[in-house]
Order: sequence, then structure tokens, then C-alpha cells
Amino acid sequence: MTFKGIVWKNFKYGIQKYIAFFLCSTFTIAIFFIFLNLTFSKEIDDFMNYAGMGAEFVFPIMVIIISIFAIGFISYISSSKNKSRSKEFGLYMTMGMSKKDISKMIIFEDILLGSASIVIGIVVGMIFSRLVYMITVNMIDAEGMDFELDYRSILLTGIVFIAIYLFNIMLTMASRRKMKIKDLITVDRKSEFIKKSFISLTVLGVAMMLTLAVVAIVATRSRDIAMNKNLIIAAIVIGIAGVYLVISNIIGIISSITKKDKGLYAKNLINLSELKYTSKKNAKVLFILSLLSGMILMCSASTIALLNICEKIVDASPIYSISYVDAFGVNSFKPSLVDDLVKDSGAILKEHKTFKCTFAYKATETADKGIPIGIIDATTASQMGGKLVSIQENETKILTADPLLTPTESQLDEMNISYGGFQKDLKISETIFGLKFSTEIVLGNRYMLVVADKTYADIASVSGAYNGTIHSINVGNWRKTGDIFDKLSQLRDSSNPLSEHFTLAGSYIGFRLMKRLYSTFVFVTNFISILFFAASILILLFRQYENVDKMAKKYSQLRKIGMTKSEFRRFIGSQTRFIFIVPLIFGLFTGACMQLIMQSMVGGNGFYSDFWRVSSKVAALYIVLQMIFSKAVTNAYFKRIISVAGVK
Amino acid sequence: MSFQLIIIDLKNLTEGTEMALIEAKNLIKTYYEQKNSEGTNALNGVELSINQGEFVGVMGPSGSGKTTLLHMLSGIDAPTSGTVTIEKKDIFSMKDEELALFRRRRMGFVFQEFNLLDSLTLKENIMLPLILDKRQIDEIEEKVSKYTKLFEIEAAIEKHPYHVSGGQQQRAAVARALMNDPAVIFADEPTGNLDSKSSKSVMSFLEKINERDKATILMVTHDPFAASYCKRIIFIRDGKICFEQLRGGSRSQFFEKIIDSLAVLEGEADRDDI
Repeated sequence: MTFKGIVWKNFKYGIQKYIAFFLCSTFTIAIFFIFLNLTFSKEIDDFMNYAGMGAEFVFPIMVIIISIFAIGFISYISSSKNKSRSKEFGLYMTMGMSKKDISKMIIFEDILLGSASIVIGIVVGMIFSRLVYMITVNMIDAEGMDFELDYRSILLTGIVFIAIYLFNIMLTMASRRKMKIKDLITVDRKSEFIKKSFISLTVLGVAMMLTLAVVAIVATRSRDIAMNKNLIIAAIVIGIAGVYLVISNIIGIISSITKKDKGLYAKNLINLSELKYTSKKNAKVLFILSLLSGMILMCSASTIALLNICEKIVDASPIYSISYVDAFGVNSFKPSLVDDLVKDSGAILKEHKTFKCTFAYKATETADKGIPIGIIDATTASQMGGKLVSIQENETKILTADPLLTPTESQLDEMNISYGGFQKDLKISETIFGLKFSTEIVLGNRYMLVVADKTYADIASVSGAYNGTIHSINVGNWRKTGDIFDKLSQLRDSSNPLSEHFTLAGSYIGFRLMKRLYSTFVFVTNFISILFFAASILILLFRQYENVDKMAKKYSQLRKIGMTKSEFRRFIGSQTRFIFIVPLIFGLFTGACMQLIMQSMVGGNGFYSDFWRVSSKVAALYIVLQMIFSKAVTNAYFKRIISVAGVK
Repeated sequence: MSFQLIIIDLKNLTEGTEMALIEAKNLIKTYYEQKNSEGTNALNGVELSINQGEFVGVMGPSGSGKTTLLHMLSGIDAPTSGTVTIEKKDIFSMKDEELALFRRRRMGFVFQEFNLLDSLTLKENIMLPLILDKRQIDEIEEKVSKYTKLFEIEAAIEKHPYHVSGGQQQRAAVARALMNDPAVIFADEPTGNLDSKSSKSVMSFLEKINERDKATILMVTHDPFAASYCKRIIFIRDGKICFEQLRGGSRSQFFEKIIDSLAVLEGEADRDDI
């Protein structure tokens, strides 16, 4: 038989071992792919930005975290697979096989499994991506859109995972080169615990975690910090690295603290010794599960919290209850009609203000293709915003509602506008923000220009057809205005091409839009959470699968020296709880930090208590679910051990 | 040569004048390959009595049922029929948990594979039975110190099993077996994985605790040298006790007698095969 024949035969013989490795890899790749495809989706990107979520920011952070998870998990399952075969490799070497031959065998297997996982992972990812995409697009009412697979998702997934597998192969080669036959044969008996200076590393890890916490807290004070992409990504990466340092030393710390009390140490001897014995593997598993828990909490808790506080955000918002622009024949309602509708609805009319406005085009655009830009004078801007706005002649200030919606024009020095055959160069002096204006500027351009009263008069006097009126109505109860918007929508001239830009706006519309956007976001993020939760289950099952033989041996050994079945069950319970609780604590920490940042990013700092009340409930539900799952896992694991041990 | 052996009638085995510590009555163990297949008897109606302070060896050819007998007597496995009483308690009438506790408190075990937990140091392995029994740490430490000194493994106690020799591992296993002051120590081929020097050392310690502390020991072995440390040897074949031999005179004389007995036992087996 040739060498290749041995390798192939060996591969077929150990097929069950490889199936576990293959399934875990495939699942990780599929998750990564689904996520990337969402990231590259233009529609999702648009809607995220529209909702003020900053897709170009949120998704890359998540992709980085998923990549860290993928590297950790693939490296863990790959090292587990090879370590479980160390004895077998040692045996081959005693029969004369060289290290080079063994390396070749591992490379062959890893390439075969790796490429199969990448291909199948991408295919599974494609199928699920389509499903997620269709549901998501359906939720945001994005008609006429087709599902498209972005070639970049396929390419990037392939590149990332080929790199991960190559990196793993190199690591394996490096470790195999150092291995001696004796080490290979005894490696599965040796303790993974290494006495090292874990105190200093832990202190460093805690400091790194605190860095993330401090940045997150500071971000809630200043939205500019929350929006600083590089700072936030760096803080998250440092925080996650800190979590790894603390987790990889946690067993050493618990052990050294416990050892100070001999009685306590003796009481926990079996549990502690088992944790120390598999400390390296435990550190990897705990770290990966912590990451997943953090992501699950961030994804689910923060978005559900946002959805729940929509109404409060609208309540606290200074925007008008009903607002529309009457221009170009769009929204030309009789003012008394709107007032009557308000009265009939029971919403209680408080005020109905009107403000003059005019429109112009960018000089580079024509009336056929461009969208008219709304213009108001400084006096009107001061009246509308309740704050004095002063401006020089032939200068302009760009007025926008939210820093996240800052138009690209803000970066220009001047803007050339055309109106009724005339042109004017306006020097852009500043971009001003104000939520008060958000309904007034729900126009295609997402901004308005504020100019000096004299400049305004010059522009408005040229063509009366470009002039319009902003109507701003305040009512006692905006919740009752839903019907008013429906009726006004029916009366609008929807055939006018500008009608889609001059929409009806107001608290109720804002609330409805926010609810729809956040519902979609909740769906997307919770879908990801479910995938992460499934990934964490898979990791735990993989860990148990690879440990069951050793545990069965331990069970048989301990039973012979008089350990009762219930004592062993408690031991398994403690081990499983440790694997559940530690990641939960670190996951809560990272999840909370990321939520603080997210809360600030979406402008939720004013709703701190509401936001955290809801997310705490979600976190509590997650903890309960984890505990139930931990119990179920313990029971199943215990039964499996008993059955493998074959000892009553 | 068989006439020179002290062969005792099976009936006399249970008729000791001293109080029996372990009593087995009509032990039968049948293994079935498949559900409805005809079974094979690993033990075929064994009757046995062991008194307090005895050092008994069980010998016999491979597959004779030695280890099965030890498993039945110690409650590790249940017989198909028959009873085993230790200190007048029927161990198979006990509930599972009760039997585990009885095993923990009244029995000590020494195995061919040492059965030490790799995750624990030798000291922690020795401490384990008392830790499981929730004893005070001072008492545990005192006993550990006593036995590690007795078995001369003080220098290795902070090491893990895979870092010490087989002899040291087995001595640690014997020390662990003694920690609970058991009524009986069951040893299954304790020298099977040891070189002759380590075998001698381990057997000397077992002999010492038998003579000095009056510990009752039941040892299964195929090694005549190890068996020569016993006071009584029970020879077993095809799941039945064939005869037994009492130690009389020096250990070397007893060793010679064991060799002869084995030759007789195996000779009879060969004759049966013909």
C-alpha cells in the first residue's frame, strides 16, 4: 500500500471525527457569509443610514468581531482534532513514519476538509442569505428589489477562511516539528495548566477591559466620540483582547485564591483540577462563548430596547405634530381643511404656523433631473428653531436634522444655485443641526439652505412659481393624528413627480417610520443573535463530544474509589455551569459596553433609563435561557458519559 | 507433585473458626453475547469466605474468572445470582448510592493501571477518598503525611502521575486505598504494569500493612512472585475454585509451591482440552 493509500484509508476510518470538525467549520463560514452579504447589500445599507444607524460603521465592527470569533473557533476545533490524534501520530512515528510524512498527512486532511467547508459553507450561506434578505426587504417595503449575491461576499469569505486555514496549518506544522514521540504518546494525559505570571497578565487584561468601559461611558457623554470610528474600533479590539487575557488566566487566579484556604481547596479539588487540566482548551472556549454572548446581547437587547422606546423618543422630540411644504402644486390643501381634520380627530389643535420658503436647483442640475433645494431666510430659521440665526449676505448655512445625516455638500466651500434663469454663488459658512427642523427637511436632499433675508428676497422675487409655504402644526395628542395623515395622503397630487420629495411629516409619521425601521433592524439583529446562539450550542456540543471519552474514563475511575453517581452529576453540573456562567459575565460586560456606544450613536442618550430597563429585561431573559440550556446540556452530557463508560 | 500440595476441600473454605469478613455464596456470573443467545458462565457457583486480617491471593489462567470474582466481591459489578456479604452486609441489596458510599468508606482499591486521575497530583489523588467523604482537612493532611512517609513517596507527591514512575504511582494508589481505613483492600494485578524492583517494593508495602495494621487484602494476580507475599492462595479455573494453598514456611518455599500448583492447574486445563 502506498503512503497516499494509508492517508486515504485513515481519513475514511476517522470520518466521524472529521464530520464534527466539518460541520462546525461549515456553520462558521455560513454565518460569516450571511453577515458579509448583508453588509454589502445596498438596500440594507441605505435603510440603516436612513434610520440613523450608520451601517458603514455598525457592520464593520460586527464583521471584525465575527472574524475574531471565526479565527478562535476554527483554531480551537482544528487543534482539538489534531490533539485527539497525537497518540495515533506517535504510533506512526514508532513505525518509522517521519515528521514530514505526518505533516503531509495533516496538510492533506486540512486542505480537503477546509476546501469542502468553504464551498459548502458559502452555499449554505447563500441559501440563508436569500431568505434573510427577502424577509428584510419585505419588512422595509422596498419594492422592486431583487436579491443579489455580492461577489465580494463570496470572494472575501473565501480569502478570509483560506487565510485562517493556512494560518492553522502553519501553527500545526510548527507545533508538530517540536513534538517528540514520547510527547505525542503522552500529550493527552498531560495537564494544560502552566504556572505563569498570571497576576500581571490579568491586571493588564482588566486594564484593557476598563479602557473599553471608559470609552463606552465617555461615548454616552459625547456623540462625537461615539461616532469616531477608529477610536471605537480600537477600544473594542483592546477590550476584547483584555477579555481574552483575563479569561486565559482566570483558572490560575481562582486556583491560587482557593489554595490559600486548604479546606476550601480540598472541597473544590476535583472541579478545580479538571479546569486546570484542560485550561488551554477552556480558555479558548470561554473566550469564544464570551464574544458570542456579548454579540447576542448587543444585537438583541439594544435593538429591542430601541424599538420599545420609539414612542418616548417621539414624545421627547421637538418636531411638529404635522408638517408639510406647500410648493410646486404639491400639498396644496386649504389650511382650514387640515385644521378641521385635526379637530375631528380629537387630537386638539394647539397652533398652526406658516413659514415662507423658496426653492432653487444646483447650477449643475436641471429642473427635469434635479431635486429642488429648499431655502429659508435667517428670520424664518430663527422663528422655526427658536434660536437666533445670523448670516451674511451671499453666504449660506446648511441646515440638517442630524449629524448622521450630514450631506456631502457640507464639505463644500460654496454652492452655485440656479433659479429662474439666474445663478448665484453662495459661500457655505457652516452646517447647523437641529431636531426641530427634521420634519421640515424631509425632502429629497435631506437639507435646506439658510440665507440672509436680503439674499432670500433676491431669490424669491425672481420666480414666484418657486416659492412655497411650510406649514407647522402642533396638536395636544399626536397619537391620534394617524387618520389625518391617511386622509391628506389621499388628497395629495401623487402624479406630481416632486410629490415623493415633499412628503407629509410629523410625529406620527416619524413614529411609524422609526417603528418600521427598528422592527427590521430587530429582525436582522435577532436573526444574527439566533445564529450566534446556535454557534454557541455547537461549540458546547463539540467540546462535550471531544471530552466524553475522557470523562467516561474519569467516571469509571471515580466510581471505583467510591464517588456516587449524584456526586459525579454535581461535578459535571459545576463544570458545565462554569462554561456557561463565565462567558455570560464577560459577555454581559462587552455587550453592555457596545450597547452604551450604540445608544449614543443612535441618539438615545436622553433615554438612558428606558433604554437600559428594556435591555436589562432582554439580558435577564437571555440569562434564564442560558441557565435552562445549561441544565439540559448537563443532563444530556451526564447520560452520554454514563453510557460510554458502561459503568452503572 | 500434586500430592505435596495442601489441598482443602471446597466445603472447608467457608468453615473458618474466625468471623468471616467477606462471604460469597453461590456466585454465578453469566455473560450473554446477544440478547437471546446462550450465555457463558464467567463464575460458576463460587463459595468463598475471607477472614479479618487475611492476605488472600486469587490465581488462575487467563479467562478463569479472577477479575470477575474481584468485581463481584467488591460490588463493582453485580452477579447474575448469589450473594456477597461484607461485614455481614449484603452489598447487592444496597441501593446504588449506598453501595458507592460503602465502597468509599469500607473498601480500598489498587488496580493494574493504577487508576490515578491525571488531573490531580499524587498527593491530591491520595487525599481524594477523604475529600469525597468531606473529612476535615487537618485529618486528611495528617493521613497523607503518614502514608507518603510509609510508602516513601514524599519527594514525588506534588507531581502529576505521568511525571513519576509506575512504582511510585502504584504506591500512591496503595496509599489512597488505605486513606479511609478500609475493612478490605482489593488489588487487581497490582504488579502487572511494574518492573521487578517496583513489584517487590509494592508487594513489600502490602505485606507490611497486612502484618502491621492487620489490613485484609484480596489480590488477583498471575504473578507467582507477587502471590508469594500472600498467606493464602485460591486457585480458580473455569469460574470455579479448584483448590487453595496456605503459606507455610518461608516466602521462597511458598513461591516454589505456587509454581507447582500453577503447573498442576494448567496441566489439568491442558488435559481437559485434550
